[in-house]
Amino acid sequence: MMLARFFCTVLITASCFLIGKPALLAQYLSNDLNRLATNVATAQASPSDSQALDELIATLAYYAAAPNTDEAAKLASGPLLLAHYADNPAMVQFFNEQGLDTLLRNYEPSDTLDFGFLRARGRESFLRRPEAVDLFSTNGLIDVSKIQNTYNAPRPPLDNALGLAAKDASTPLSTEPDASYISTALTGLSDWISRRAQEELTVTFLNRLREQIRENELDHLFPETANYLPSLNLINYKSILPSLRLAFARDLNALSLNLGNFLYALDADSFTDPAVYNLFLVYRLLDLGARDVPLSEILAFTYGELTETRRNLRRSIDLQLADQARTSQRFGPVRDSYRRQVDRLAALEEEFQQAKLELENEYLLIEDREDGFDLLAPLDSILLPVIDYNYANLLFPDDKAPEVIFGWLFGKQPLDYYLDNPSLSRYDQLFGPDRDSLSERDLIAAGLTGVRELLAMRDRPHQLYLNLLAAREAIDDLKERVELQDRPEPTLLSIKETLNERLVLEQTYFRHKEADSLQLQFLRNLLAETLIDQTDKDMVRRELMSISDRLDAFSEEKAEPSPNYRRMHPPVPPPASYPELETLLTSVEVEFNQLQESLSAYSREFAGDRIRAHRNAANFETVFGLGQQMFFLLYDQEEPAFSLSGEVEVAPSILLEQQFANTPAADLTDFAPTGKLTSYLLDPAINPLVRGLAYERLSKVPGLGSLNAPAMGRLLMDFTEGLYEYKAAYEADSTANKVERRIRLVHFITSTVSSIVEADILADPLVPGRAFSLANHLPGFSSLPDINDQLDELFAHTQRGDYRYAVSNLVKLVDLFNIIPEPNRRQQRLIDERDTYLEELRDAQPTPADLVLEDLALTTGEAISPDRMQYLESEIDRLEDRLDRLDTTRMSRNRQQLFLYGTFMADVASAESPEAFAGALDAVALPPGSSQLKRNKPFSLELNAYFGINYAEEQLNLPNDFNAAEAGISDRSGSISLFVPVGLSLSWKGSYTQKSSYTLFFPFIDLGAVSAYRFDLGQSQNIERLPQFTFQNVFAPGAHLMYNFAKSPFSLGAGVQYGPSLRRINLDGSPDLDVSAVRFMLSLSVDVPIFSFTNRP
Amino acid sequence: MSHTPTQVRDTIHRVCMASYQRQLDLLQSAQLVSAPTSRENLQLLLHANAVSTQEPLPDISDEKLTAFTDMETEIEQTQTTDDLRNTRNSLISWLSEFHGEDFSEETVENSRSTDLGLNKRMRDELFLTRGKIRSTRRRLKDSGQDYDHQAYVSTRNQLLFVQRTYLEQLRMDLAKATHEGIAQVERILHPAILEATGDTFVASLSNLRDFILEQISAPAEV
Repeated sequence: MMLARFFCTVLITASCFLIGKPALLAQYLSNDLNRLATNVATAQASPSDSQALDELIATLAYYAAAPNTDEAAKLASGPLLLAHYADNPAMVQFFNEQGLDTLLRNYEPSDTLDFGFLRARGRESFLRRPEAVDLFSTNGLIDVSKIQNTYNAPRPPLDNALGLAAKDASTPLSTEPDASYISTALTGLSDWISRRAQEELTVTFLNRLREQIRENELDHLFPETANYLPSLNLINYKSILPSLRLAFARDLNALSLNLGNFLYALDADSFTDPAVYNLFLVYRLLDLGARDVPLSEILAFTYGELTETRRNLRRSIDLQLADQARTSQRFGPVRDSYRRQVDRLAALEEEFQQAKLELENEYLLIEDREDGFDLLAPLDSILLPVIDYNYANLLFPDDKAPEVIFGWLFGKQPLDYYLDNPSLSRYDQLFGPDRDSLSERDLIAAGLTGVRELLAMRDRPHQLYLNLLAAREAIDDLKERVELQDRPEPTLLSIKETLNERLVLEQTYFRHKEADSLQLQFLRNLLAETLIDQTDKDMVRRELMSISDRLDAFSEEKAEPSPNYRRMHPPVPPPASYPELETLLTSVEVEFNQLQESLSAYSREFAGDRIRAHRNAANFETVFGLGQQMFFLLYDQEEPAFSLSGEVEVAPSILLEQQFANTPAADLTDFAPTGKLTSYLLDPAINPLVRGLAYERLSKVPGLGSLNAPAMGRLLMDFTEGLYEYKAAYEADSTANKVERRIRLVHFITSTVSSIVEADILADPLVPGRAFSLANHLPGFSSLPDINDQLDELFAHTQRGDYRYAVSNLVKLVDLFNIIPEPNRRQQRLIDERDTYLEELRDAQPTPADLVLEDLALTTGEAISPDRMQYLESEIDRLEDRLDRLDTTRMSRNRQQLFLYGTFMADVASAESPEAFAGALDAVALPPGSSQLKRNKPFSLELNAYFGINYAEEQLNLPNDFNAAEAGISDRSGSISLFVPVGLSLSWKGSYTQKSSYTLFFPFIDLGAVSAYRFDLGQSQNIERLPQFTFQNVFAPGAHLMYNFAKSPFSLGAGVQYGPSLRRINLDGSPDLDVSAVRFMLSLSVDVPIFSFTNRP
Repeated sequence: MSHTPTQVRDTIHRVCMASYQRQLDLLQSAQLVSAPTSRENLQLLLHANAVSTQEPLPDISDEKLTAFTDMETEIEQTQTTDDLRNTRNSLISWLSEFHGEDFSEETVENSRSTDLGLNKRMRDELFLTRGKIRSTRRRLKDSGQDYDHQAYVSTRNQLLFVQRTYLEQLRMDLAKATHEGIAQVERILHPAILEATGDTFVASLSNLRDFILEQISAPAEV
């Protein structure tokens, strides 16, 4: 492997020589890793090979600073790079293992190293953080106007953003059923055995579906169905079934998108709940992906949108607070604390300026020496950050001096300040025709924003102080070295005289201690014999120094050295310090706490939710920032080589622009394959380098804090696998239709977000070795991976038409989103209480994003005590437990209803045949075996059918003027017939222990009545044996008492029933006579409940 | 008293500025003026200001004033900074007799202006002077442009000395920065240092020095 790398790099290096400049042809992962590995090997073998070290430095500086080439150029120095990577454990390991710490310690690259070449445009597109106007100006395939309008248009009301995103992400469906379905549906219906009963059932069911949709906000989840059902007369449902099915299919197809509206309708706050916000982002990404926007642009756009959202939220927070400024008691303390802090900062600024002045004077004096520049150059990285720093207005940006913010806090323009600092733009701003007409509210909001910006920089004074101390120490050391260097070398005579003088003084001091005095006399005699005029001066010097060493050892052994020795060796002075500055720093810190406390209290009271939303957006910014860096790092596409011959007199940057002008933004095909990355990670020499580069790039994400270096390899692998799974799907089926492409995209989005959120990339600074993920760390992010899994499946199932599976995902998502349908008062109280604790807990937990929040903290910055934390957690658990136990029947019924209606809609929508349609209707009828319900429950009421046989005594209701005897017929006779009545059944049990039960059954139709066969064959040849099949003949009201055998679907019954309504009597030569009948019946039948009004599954 | 108040004020101002100027003249070596020496020079100006700004002016006899005036000759003859320090202390003693203000180090340190305004702007700008000198020196060195090093050291030391005094005066509101003055530094004097060539570098420093000295030597308003 090393050999392959070597040849690869030789080729690259050879081409560099051909070009004639120390250029790095391209930057992409495998090339860079190969180059670094080879350069390390070359530098180890030949430390004087400056080209290898130059390239090494250039590449490492590139990874440390990309995309900022100037920054990379500044870092291009061995010591500076070592210092830069000092906090990166993996890179430190790599440096140490490869001996680079020694090689680079004093190495400075050659002046010809040109960082204009460090450009990999396709790759750097992943690091773009464009402003709105820059977005999507390069790719003609994009729906530019739409996206720009989306981006530039005034932001929609925040609380409706989720719904709008869902709408944007919707595209026309691909699996809508065709209109020919009507014949299939009707054919299927005709096969339904108890058609009439089932029709009634269906109507009832549809009515209930309509009510459920209305009651449970399901109209947002199933908007087409909700729009369609209420306008219909469901009695004629057969004619609308095809359209109904279409509505079902549309709703189910868009289920994952409608989920957003559903959550919104349930008052889920899109921006404060990370889970919901995640959904919102998935929609946005899906929308862009479906428009064939390249990956890098999607990331850039989303990042830009997140930033914009955060800024909007930010503005709205302070505007909301400004509204309360006049009336709230909490605003005054903010202003007072700010005023005090400004005074303290002014004093601190003055101290810093004076300290800087002194340091600069020392610097100038050293610089005046002939060797001054050379002496100072190595210290530039320590000294220049201090003496080049402009301490004016210490923590305030140029346009927001302390006085400006203070004026704004009073709702006024700081005119005095502007008079002292006039500018034309300011004049126009205040007095010009297009002058800003800022209201008092606007100004106060701006002032509050300024206060937050100040708070966000609260750590800077301390950092400035540390820099100052380091600079002071460095310059003191240098001065000492210079003094030593300037001091003339003492002559042998002066050394001898000094030594003699010391010995005399020591001997005088220890004269009363015989042994000491003897020891010192020994040295004096030895000194006397050391003659300075000997030829070998070096030997004399060594002898004198040896005597001096022994004298020092004598003095150091003493518990109480002589005064002379103490004078010669004064105690080591304390390190450089600035006591006044330190005092001021402490007072500034105290006031910062006060300021933050008062601002937090004010913010918490009036804008808590928006601040949480802001925090949420910032956290997602972190997630997307991570994504950008990962894509950048894994970019492995060799870009078109460029050459700069001596003939072309064009600045490299201009030439690059020309060459890449038509290069499309990077896409999925450009990343390191899994195998390649694995080989790097398995190479023990390269592994720390790969992890180190990943660490370096991820550390660019604002506010992530300490990173866990060992986890970098795992994250890289997960990420690469995700990319290649996505890419492989494309390669396997490049002709995949739009739906499949969207499914893959959603899978890619959700799995990528999950892999970032779940990776243990954060290190606990307090517990070495302890690592955790964003899901562990960010409040509310823990459920994101589960939600993303379900969302991914839901989307795939709905798009592919697997609606039944989709309904399962939906129910799980409803659980994960913790949706409680129409909570009752008690539930609401518990929910409110739980949310209060949750908010306190989440607000108190610092998040990575806190560091970039411009101090929108909701707490005072002091860590919540462990006891309080434990209390909050236990209270939340307790309340959730109570909520779980409270009204569980209702909760589970709601889920079940969602499942029932969802699956019914899914089955109807998916039915491609009459059987399937019948199956859908079957599914909503009671399932087989439900006859046991009435045997097991104390009481039940059902729409019921029986199927069996009965014997009946039939009494014909002949007209009064009809003479039966003359006609030769009997008005009473026994009959046997099928027993297929449908009606209401009321069942009960005598006791709980009784296994059987009784039913009072009131049939209203009897399909078996038409089969009633009269036994009286001899006398009734003039009467129809079987009645004609008409509605009148199935209309059979009556009453039966049934005994339901235990553990069996059979029932034995006795009862009376009207009908068949009409029998036709054909008297010879006479017109037909229709007569009705009443039957007294004994039956044995199978119990077939159709629909239970009391026992739902 | 045969001298008018204006004459007395002019005399005080002239003698004190002569001492200050002499300090400048002695700054030929590579050493910058130490912080204590800077403070003493400032003290002298503070005392002079304290006397001159009194209304009415205290009764100063001709004899006394002559003794004060005689010190001007003494100043001109000083050859070392130690000699000058002795004379300066005599001047301060003389001035202290005619006002009751406390100019101890602590008092001076704490006497910060409450209304900085333009003075702050001027101070912020002047705190950047050293950085500009450094930057230009590096540039001249890198581009191989030469200049008179000794003249540079001497002029720079004088510049930094007067600048230090002026910064303190501005801080204490004893000097008043003006829009014109600030624009002069921001737009002409500092850019001149930044853009100087080897030939113009020392002159650009002396121009700034002279500008500042002019601000310092302007008599205090009564």
